[in-house]
Amino acid sequence: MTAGTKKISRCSCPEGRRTQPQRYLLKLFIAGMSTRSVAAIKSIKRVCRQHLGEDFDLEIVDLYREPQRALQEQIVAVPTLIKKRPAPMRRIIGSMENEKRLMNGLNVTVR
Amino acid sequence: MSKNTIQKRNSHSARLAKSPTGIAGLDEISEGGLPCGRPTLLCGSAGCGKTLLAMEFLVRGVTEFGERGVFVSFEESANELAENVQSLGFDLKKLVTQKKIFLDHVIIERSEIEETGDYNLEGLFIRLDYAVKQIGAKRVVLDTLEALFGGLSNEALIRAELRRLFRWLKVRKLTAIITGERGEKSLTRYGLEEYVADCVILLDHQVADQITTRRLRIVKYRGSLHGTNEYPFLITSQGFSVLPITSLGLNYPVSTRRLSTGNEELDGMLGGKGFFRGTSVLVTGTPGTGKTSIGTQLVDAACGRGERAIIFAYEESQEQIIRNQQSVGIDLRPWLRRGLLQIHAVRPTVYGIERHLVEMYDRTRNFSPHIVFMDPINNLSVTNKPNELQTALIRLIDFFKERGITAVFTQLQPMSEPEAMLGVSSLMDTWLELRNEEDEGVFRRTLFIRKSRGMAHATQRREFKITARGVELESPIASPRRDGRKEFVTL
Repeated sequence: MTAGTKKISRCSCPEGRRTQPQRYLLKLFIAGMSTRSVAAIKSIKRVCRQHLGEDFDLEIVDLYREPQRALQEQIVAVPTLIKKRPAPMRRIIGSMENEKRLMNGLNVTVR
Repeated sequence: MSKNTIQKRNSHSARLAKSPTGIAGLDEISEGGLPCGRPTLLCGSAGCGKTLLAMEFLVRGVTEFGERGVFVSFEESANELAENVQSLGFDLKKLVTQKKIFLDHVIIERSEIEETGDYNLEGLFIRLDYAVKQIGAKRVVLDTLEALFGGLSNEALIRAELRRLFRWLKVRKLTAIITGERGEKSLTRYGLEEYVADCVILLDHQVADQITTRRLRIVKYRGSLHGTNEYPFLITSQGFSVLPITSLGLNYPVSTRRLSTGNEELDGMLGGKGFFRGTSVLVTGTPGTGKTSIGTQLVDAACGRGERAIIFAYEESQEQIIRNQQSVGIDLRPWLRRGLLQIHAVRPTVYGIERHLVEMYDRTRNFSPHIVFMDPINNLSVTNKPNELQTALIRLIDFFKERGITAVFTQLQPMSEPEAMLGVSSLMDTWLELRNEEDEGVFRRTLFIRKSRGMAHATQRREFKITARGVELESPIASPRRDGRKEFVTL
């Protein structure tokens, strides 16, 4: 369990008092399979496996194939990784090569 | 200028194709519109009307020129935009439903963003491309791109991407407006003018004596002639209106039809038939000389013939005018009841002259009167700019003349210096001068036609009385002096 999710489980709503940490829902938006896209995917998978184990879902969206999703999800920069869950929602942009920042964005701490 | 002539002109100048904006006045000073298939930078400080102008460019593109448009907003949401342009009479939601305009609200929330290495703005390009393809757009507005600088930290990257974006727009031959916030040392805060080399338009608003005047200037237009002045513009309920003072054509239709003044004797002084229709008439006089009565008599006569008239009153309320005119035998109430007359009474100091013009334009467009009576024009200009009233009147007179409306203006001459403030007389076709002359303890009202273009008019000063039956002229009292001075010659 991470510091962030602990905070949330202590929120005022009683049904939110879970014992299990919330499963991560991540969406990565890329524009084609550029080297930057490939680097981002690798980096995200590595960091997530390392810190979240199997507790995450990652959807990869190629905006060239689904351009309307760029509008729906408010994508400007690519690659963009959106952490949909757990709250708060965060957007992490770039090649994800700076792992420290990626972890910061995902709100995970070194185990 | 009509749309046809703009388009015709476009086809002639093959060197630089232009996209007409449909915005009143802007196509004139830009000699046909914005550069077709190229980006134009529209800059100005906050609240000066950039978004509205850009939106009108898109809406008119659809409604007047059959070109669809994409509006990418970095600030306002689709709902906010729709509400804001509703005041201009545009039904944005309908155009969006009809797929004639595509709105995309781009939100960049810096606090939500973590930057973890290299990126580009391909997401923005994909969105734009998607929007353009969805509706087959020819026009694009980006309002305002500078939000990118606030949302993302890598300025060098943003600049490289902007350069790419402008190239992208040109390759796709999209006529685009890019808005930018006014900078302190440069035209825009982030120097967008570096990237847009073709056409730069600057909007400005100045506050003088607590009254705002909006101005537009074309700073640069590569490969094209354009008006270089600062042009005042208005945001009216029908959209933008740029007022190209210097380029207003003197080519309105001229009428040979006449308009009775409602007074047989006065008609007699005016070549026997009264004023020419569609001309401008100035009635000047010191206080209490009967200017309003002369004007309302004309209005009364017109309504009696079934014509429509508007009185713009800047000193008296509607009730006051009705009561006072009743005392000289003119009853305006039936005309109001029958919808032939509108009285619009407002204090001139309520708002600036630009706003007054808008009001007059609006009411005139909606009511299409035959006659407009403005009483008086003195206080319309509350600022100390000497040319302001004159400039406004030129615009007004041209506006009325284009529509064949006869316009009567009264102007109060101060007792102390009756010759002052006559700077507007040269704009008028007919000038009636009223005076209150003291002659051995008796005041006599006199009327003199200082000029009336295009007709043989009386050159004698005539005494008149205002009775319960209206204005009554006496028989001629004196010949004008040979030396041409207009000094009153007593009997």
